[in-house]
Amino acid sequence: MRPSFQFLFVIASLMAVTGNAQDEQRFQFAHRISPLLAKAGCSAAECHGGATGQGGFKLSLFADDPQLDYEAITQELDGRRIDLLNPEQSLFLKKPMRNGLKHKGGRLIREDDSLHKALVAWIENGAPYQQGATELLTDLSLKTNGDEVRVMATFNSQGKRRPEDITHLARLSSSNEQVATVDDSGTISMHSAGEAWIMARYGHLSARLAVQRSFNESIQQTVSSDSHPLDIAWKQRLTKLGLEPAKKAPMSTVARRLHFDLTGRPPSPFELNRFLNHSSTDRISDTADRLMMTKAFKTTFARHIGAIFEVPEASNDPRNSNQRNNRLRAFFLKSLEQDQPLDTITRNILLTSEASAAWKHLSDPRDRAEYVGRTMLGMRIGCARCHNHPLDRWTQQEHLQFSAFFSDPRPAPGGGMMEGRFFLPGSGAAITPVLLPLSDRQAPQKAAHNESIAWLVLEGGEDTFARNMANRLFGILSGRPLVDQPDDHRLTNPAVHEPVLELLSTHLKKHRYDLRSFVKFVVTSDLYAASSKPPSGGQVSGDPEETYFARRTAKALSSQQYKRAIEHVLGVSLPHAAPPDSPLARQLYVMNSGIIQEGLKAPGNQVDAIFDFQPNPKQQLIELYQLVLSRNPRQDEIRSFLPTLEKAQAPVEAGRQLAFALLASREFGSLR
Amino acid sequence: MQPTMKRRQFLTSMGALPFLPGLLSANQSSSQKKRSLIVIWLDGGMSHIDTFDGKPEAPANIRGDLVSKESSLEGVFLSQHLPRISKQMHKLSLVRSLTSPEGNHDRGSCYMLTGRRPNPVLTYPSIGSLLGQTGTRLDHPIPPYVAIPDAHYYARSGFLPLAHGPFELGGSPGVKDFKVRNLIPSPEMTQAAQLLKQVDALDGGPRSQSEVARDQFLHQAQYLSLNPEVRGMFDITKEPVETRLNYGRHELGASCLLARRLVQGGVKSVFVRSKGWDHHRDILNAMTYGFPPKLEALDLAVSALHEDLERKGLLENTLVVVASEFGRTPRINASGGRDHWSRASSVLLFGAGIKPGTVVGETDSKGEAPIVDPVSPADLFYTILEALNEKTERTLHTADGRPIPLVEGSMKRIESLLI
Repeated sequence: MRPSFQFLFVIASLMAVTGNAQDEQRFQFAHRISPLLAKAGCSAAECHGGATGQGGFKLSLFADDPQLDYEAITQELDGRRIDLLNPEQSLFLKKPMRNGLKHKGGRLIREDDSLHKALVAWIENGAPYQQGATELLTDLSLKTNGDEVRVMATFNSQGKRRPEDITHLARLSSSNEQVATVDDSGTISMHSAGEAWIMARYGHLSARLAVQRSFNESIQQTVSSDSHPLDIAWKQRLTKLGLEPAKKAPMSTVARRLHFDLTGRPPSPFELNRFLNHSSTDRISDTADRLMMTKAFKTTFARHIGAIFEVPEASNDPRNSNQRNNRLRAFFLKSLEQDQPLDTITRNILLTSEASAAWKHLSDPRDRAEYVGRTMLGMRIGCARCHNHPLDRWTQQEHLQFSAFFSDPRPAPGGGMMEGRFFLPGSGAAITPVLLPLSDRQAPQKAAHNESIAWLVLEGGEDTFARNMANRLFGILSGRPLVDQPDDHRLTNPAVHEPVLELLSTHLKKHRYDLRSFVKFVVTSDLYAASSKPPSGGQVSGDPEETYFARRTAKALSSQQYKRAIEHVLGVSLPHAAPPDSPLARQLYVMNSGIIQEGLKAPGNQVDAIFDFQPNPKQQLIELYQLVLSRNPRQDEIRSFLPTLEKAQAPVEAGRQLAFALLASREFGSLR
Repeated sequence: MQPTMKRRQFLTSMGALPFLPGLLSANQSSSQKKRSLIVIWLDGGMSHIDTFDGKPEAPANIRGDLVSKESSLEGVFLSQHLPRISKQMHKLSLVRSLTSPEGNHDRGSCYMLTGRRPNPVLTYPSIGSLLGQTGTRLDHPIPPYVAIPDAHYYARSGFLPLAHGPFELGGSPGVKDFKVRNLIPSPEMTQAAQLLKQVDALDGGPRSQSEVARDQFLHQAQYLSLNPEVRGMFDITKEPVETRLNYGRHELGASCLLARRLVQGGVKSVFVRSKGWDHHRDILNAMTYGFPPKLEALDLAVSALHEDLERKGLLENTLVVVASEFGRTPRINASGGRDHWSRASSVLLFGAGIKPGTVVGETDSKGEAPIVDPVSPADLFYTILEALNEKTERTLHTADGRPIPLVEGSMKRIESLLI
């Protein structure tokens, strides 16, 4: 927004201040004066709020630290920035004044402005930091009536709570400006269909509120109340957005998904036919039960859970197969074999020497704290390492105090070991460990540091932990997490469907983090079985249906998954390394590495078996499609490829060529 | 159905042929051509005192056993083991006052290659992955960024999509039977190409962004692999023997020669990685008697690249930067080596946008710290982008939409280097 525009709103809002503000609170610097500077743009990043300020005058970013700003205005330069005897001559007023002193940031204030008046009045009053009884800002919320949003703050003074509309003082923004924008007075303008979150920031608090415009109001879904709970929530959300849920994917597609997701490989033709011929009501549920009893489920989920904790899958890359990673992979496999729930696995990573290598190799306590934040809580507390962030709830101090829990024990003077201490980098001052305030629950006193961290993750911050794990597991199963960037849960990065994520994390908590129960909960829903096919002639990606999960997003198989899938289909083990990550190198690998070719030449491979034992060309084609793509060929596919097989002089050779094309195809390399 | 297809038929069917002529020719007028970058990365940390910032007057425990001599550029002392670079020095440029707080390999490399110090929540894209990229274009499927033989972690795409990252050759051009990994087409690739196309056409089309990308990269892979002229771009045996000998019979020389061929063929950015510069012990031996001797390899490769680019008229539009993550300790340690030293290091530059014969800064008599014009890796990053005529006011976006300016306000151009 242009400064002048912004400024007009400040004037408007100031009129409101003087009109209805509580008189005794008029000059509270933290709640009344510094928000004005933030809203006028003075403490923006490109102005005085930048890391080094501007022209020697530094304010905290978006008035995040009023105490510091107060000192900068009233005390720095021996107090020259304000003039108590002659308030209008105050340097910090004259700089941005029209006809004032030189100001690189432009002329922002006129004498008859209410901003000017408010600041002059504050200085006339002695430029206090605080006046009257201390009021604490305890709560911030948003209310909407139609196209206007009001920001309500609750102040607490000596046990008395006082709500107040502070819209004119809060900074407002929209999470999706293509859908909706909000101006400084709280008026919302909707620009296109979809959902946007209106964010408000005031003092140290933020609040958010979702606003929607329907894509198609005539869409009505009748969701029967005995549907799967996830589907009720999902379909209600889609109805609200005016979107229709995608049709169910063909059962063969669901079979391929289910086998890949649960066992890391496509179904064999036998499994595929068993799935397709199963009685339809319990098909998915029974198959999931059966697959979850296999060893492949354990190895696959040991990889998935390992990935959540940043332990890479074994590969030919020597950096991955160091002793630490090998031991950790063994740990995850053992945990899965023993059916350990996620909270136990997490606890073991924090507390046992077997698994704590996952974070103990990081020597800096801050790196360790950030690891726990990212993987277990889904939060990037590392943003606060350098400075407080306006969009983030964590302060630099909280980051350091939490990091202090992660310093290694050191020898105690009286023998034995004592808790490690963490010192402020730079000044060397010792920092007292304090847990992140994730909930109101009281942490156990005098616990060992590791125990305190485990308490925070699994008890004090249980909701955060469950939400993070639910989001990640859902992402593994559906191809895309509900909170994108799964390590970045924060107020300003909401889930695509909050009610769905809420149900998922409640389920996880209720069933004590049992993996099988969670997997079954997800895969038996219509949401899981939704088709990934975009509407014909429609957009392939970025359309509302994809954005809002009305259909599934087809996802490329990972390098390792792709290699394992080839081996599984052909029924042979191949010495080739998995394809490189670079997308060009991967396609060269598919074409030329020889992995498919050699697999097709290996004695006894599954493709040869079809052509050796099945004399009927049409059956050959059907079996080949079932083997490679886990489905039957469609009519046009039969028309295109059957004549070649029928006419082939050497059917095995023709079969191999078609098998090569199917294994290199777009469909095989993707999970649709 | 036609089960097999001739290669040329296939290429024609892809509509690739119209782009072949001119692809490998350097005849385009230079003002029309976009500028390219070659980074020669001396992995491990090149000792500045034993290469480009010689201190012949310093005590023996600093000067070292490697003798420095004044080069063709007044006041610039180069190791006597760099005779050819030394003769060309008046046409090259040197930064001697590079200084950084990052003395750890990973952190130092991050700062040098991305222009940013390591960030706990963000991996920045390397300079090579930032150059004028708009994704893969179907009408020009040459990969814009190539790493020989592979890329450093911080030479990759960082928070940008993988498609911005380097195409890593996966093999050393220094060995006799060097082949780019998986570039030689398999018989099946040509035989089954038509079949594959049919199979893909019948599946109802791509369904998501990742499937669209797969189609583009498959097209690119087929183009590179099936077209002998394009494939030949990666084949240094097509160069005359004299040229190859001039670059030197070792990996670094062969890599630099290949880099020149790639730039000539339209590659925007090349990362040449030369490993083994972390000389904590016996630096004298490592630099002069190894196999091949490090300094000899560097001397031949860099001087030959300069001559070659100049002779072929490519110098004007190709910027070459020889750099590493930091310098090495001025004082020789007890094992006869030098340890990490980030307070002072040297960077050699020449070509596009760089004023020849410029020396930036100077270190003190012991080579410990800059005494004139200190510059940071961030400043160097900005300067390189400017020299390449990049639009530096661009904003990048992380996967979650956070805007990151390409150039930070605190970065300063090294004005004296720029034309």
